[in-house]
Amino acid sequence: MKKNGKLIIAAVAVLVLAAVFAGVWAATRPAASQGAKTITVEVVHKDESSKTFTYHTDAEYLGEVLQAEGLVKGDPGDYGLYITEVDGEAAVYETDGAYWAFYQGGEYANQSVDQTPINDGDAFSLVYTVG
Amino acid sequence: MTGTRSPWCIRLAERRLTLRETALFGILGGMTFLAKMVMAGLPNIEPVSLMVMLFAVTFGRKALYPIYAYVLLEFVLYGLNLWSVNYLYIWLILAAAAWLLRGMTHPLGWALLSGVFGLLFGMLCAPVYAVTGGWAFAVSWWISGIPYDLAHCAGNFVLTLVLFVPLRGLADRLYRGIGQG
Repeated sequence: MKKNGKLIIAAVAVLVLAAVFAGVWAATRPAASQGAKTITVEVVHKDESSKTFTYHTDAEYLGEVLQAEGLVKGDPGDYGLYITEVDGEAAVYETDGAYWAFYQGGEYANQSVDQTPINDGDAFSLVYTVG
Repeated sequence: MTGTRSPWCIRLAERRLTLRETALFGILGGMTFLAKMVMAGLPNIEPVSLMVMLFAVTFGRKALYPIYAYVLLEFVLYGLNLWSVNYLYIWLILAAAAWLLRGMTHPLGWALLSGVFGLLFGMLCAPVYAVTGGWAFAVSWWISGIPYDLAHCAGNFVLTLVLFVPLRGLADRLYRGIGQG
């Protein structure tokens, strides 16, 4: 009975901790604006050639747009979509350490594309990077 | 030195692996890796936490062998990156916690331990990102990944609640069966 009591207290503590974490995430999540938004995505390929794609969208998150437009392909990872291919060019980390680096407004982004909210006028870059 | 000795501090002679142990630990490390690959399509549901806890309670200090056999396979297949540093220490934290709680028998207790580990996974990984990008980046990285940690928590909880106790019995019998334990 005493052991069960401890387990129940522990279970409640875990639930409370999970709720606090969820609250921290919800409170700090950047808000996405609704309605028609125009964004640009610059793709820098392995040969350093660059293409800029402009999209008009109502989507809330960038990942939805990039996948719907067929610009990126990827696999679900521990922390969001892991991009394996952009604009028809694959980056295979296991082969030569290459990956697609994701930048938002010129800064290296610390979240995946499917966690990135879109606002009108946002500029993103996907850069083929080695090492 | 009297009293109960920690298996993390056993004598050198006892640390030596028998041929059977070497084979067993290699197979278990490989099985852990394979099980993770098989479950890779399920969002943040992984068997590694369950296996690490099983190794710790069954093999004590020698759990390091199957744990790092698994980590080595990850490094060989996916190469070395920042997350590789996480993998060097993060499973040790879970193994140590499981070993400290090895007397626990209720499946709910193990499920809670595994769930908490999943919930704290991002937080435990964040210090590595603090070294490379500063604490603000590390905290921001951790917070952006909280939905994934919540899924990790739920997946670990259910998997461990169902499988830990029966697999623990199986692992004990297996270890005794090769003349150890």
